[in-house]
Amino acid sequence: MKMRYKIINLKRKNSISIIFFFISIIIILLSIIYAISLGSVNINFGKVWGILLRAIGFNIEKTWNSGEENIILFLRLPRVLMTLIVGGMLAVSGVIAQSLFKNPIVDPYIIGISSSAGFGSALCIMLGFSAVFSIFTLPLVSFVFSCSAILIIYKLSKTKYHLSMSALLLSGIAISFFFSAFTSFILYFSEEHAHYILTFLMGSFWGANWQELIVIFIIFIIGFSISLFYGRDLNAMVLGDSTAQSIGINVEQSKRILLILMTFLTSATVAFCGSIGFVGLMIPHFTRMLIGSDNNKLLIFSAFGGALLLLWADIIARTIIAPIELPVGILTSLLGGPFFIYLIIKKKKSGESL
Amino acid sequence: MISCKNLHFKYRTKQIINDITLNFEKGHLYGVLGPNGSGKTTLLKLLIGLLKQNHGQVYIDDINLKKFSIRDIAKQVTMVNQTNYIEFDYKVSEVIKMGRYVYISRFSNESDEDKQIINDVIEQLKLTKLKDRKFNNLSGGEQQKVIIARAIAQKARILLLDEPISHLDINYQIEFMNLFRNYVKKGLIVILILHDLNIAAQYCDKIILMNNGTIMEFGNIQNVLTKNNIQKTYGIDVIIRKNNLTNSIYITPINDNHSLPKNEKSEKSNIKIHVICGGGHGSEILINLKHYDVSVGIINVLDDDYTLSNEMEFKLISEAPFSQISEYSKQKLEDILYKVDLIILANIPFGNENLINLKSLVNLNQKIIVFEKNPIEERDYTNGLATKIYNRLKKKDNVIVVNNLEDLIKNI
Repeated sequence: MKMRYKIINLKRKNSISIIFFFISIIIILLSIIYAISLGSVNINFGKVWGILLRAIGFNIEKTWNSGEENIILFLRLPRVLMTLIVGGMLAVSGVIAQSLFKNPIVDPYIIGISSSAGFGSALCIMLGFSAVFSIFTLPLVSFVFSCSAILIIYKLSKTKYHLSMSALLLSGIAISFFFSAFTSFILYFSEEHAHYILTFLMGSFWGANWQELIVIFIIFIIGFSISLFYGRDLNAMVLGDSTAQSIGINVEQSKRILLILMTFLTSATVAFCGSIGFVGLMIPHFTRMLIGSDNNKLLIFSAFGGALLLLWADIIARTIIAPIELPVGILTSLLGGPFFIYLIIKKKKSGESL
Repeated sequence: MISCKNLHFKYRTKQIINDITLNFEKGHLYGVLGPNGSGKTTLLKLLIGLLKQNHGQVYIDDINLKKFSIRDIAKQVTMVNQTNYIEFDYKVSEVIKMGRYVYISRFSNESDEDKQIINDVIEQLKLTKLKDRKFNNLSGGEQQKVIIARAIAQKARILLLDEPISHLDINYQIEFMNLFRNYVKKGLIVILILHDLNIAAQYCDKIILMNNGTIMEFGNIQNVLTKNNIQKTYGIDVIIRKNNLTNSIYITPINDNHSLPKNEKSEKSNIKIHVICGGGHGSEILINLKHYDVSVGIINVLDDDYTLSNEMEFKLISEAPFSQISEYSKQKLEDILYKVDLIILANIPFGNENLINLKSLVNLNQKIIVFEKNPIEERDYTNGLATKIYNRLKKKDNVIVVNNLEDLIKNI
């Protein structure tokens, strides 16, 4: 009897995760359709379905004109998919960052990934080099800048046997301020480019296209798959380095791999979409409240959560003061701040530690 | 079996571990003792490869630890650290499951065997009720238990634990020590860093006494925990007795006379004090007198105060138990009383056998301190004779009556 209860109990626990999984996928699919149907040109649901199904090979009668088809397939669809992937990437980086630094108030930008990328792009725009390698110039420059910033702080924090995460955090924050100051300096002295630079810095999905999408999708799939194999390393590392190693985790190696993963994922998002605050900080927390702290599950469900959040943030950003479009980064921070305070108050009331 | 040979470890310029060679055998419980900063934690971390030694080698079953990968080590040895704070909310069962990580490949979930082992450990440690609770909401003792469960689920043959029972209540201390004894019986090697000498004496098979990064002494309890060794490592004086209940030894620190300044101590040490006590009533006084030239008596040899005085190397006038006091002892007492500077009379009951102690005080002119906790009537078994003498004594000018230990020490 006792045994049987155990088995049922075990199954139920797994099935809760499975139900969550399918619910998330259904919500995401519905949100995609909704998001695609929104915009300055009104295209109804039926047409959206038709265009999408025809595009993936179904033989459906054409009740729409090619202008509408272009809007859906080449403007709205890449943009919506971009929000999903970037949201997922930021949330996954957030989970990695928080467990790696054993610190719940850390997000992937804290060690200077976004400010160094921002500085690189601002410099590039100011000097007028922003189109040397076609549309990939700014992303490439951002990526190179943020990776070099992380390389510098990595070298600073590494001793003979040991990578000190607190040294990494502190030097990261220092370098982040340093680059922000330079960016402000550039902004202050470049009147004609200031708006362009600012738009880039604040983060938006304006002008998303299939080429960018494919690049970022590949980075996401590789990064995310590798991160899934390191869920347990993250769990163990939360217990502290020496405990993790006595559990059998090669801590120093895992730290390096996870740091590289986090840097790649975050740098890629910053490179294509600018810095979008709060997703990487908030989504891991929110997901933890729903399904617990086990990083194996947390990575998957945070990816869903991040994707959904950014998709809806972009919907609001596009529609709230249409036809003017708000940078999505402003919106996430605007909503994220109060939401986070709400979480803190709620936790405080229930007497738990944050 | 795990052993180390000529282990040296330096942190910057400080030598933390200095030439340590040890051998740990299967089925033994080892206690590592020593003052703070003596290198206990460093030694354990070297044994499991968390730190790399500058010289020397560690061997598991005669195979050099350097040949093991981190995963291989985790299958043989595991360690429980001193602090076990977890930043995020993990469930108890999730924490215990981490002990199985070393057996689960990156690309699969835990097997039925893993699940079985986790369930067994949860049942063994009586954690069934807690397994779905959050680790951070448990009490300190419960948290420690979960961390130990994690280590046991790992099925390593060698367990290293850094102060597993410090800061815990006595019930947890006993529960954990019995648990470790149990695992040792099953053939594991358990090495604990402990702070409580008496717990170590009661439960461990062998003791490693460390000081300044070296091994002061390694071996059986009786050979390691001696008055001399403890004085050398911890710098305190202790009394070591056999504990008849547990058949182990029991260590009591001796008070340093309420921290008198050093020069005052040496000055005062010439003072000769005689203490009249018995039945254990004198121990609280005697233990404070280690810096004086003390004599005790007349007292019988089965008395607790006799044993204590003997351990503190005081002069004794003693008699066989249940016998009348001999003329010889009476003479000896008179001689001593004549020479001493101060006499202390403890709060003892008087019967016909020891009445002579009281009688001989009446005609003396030195300072006498009478320690009175209960009125004499309550401890008079001589039909009033003792009371009469006692009251006469109290009226004398050279007698001071005190009723607490502090006043007594102040009056010496």
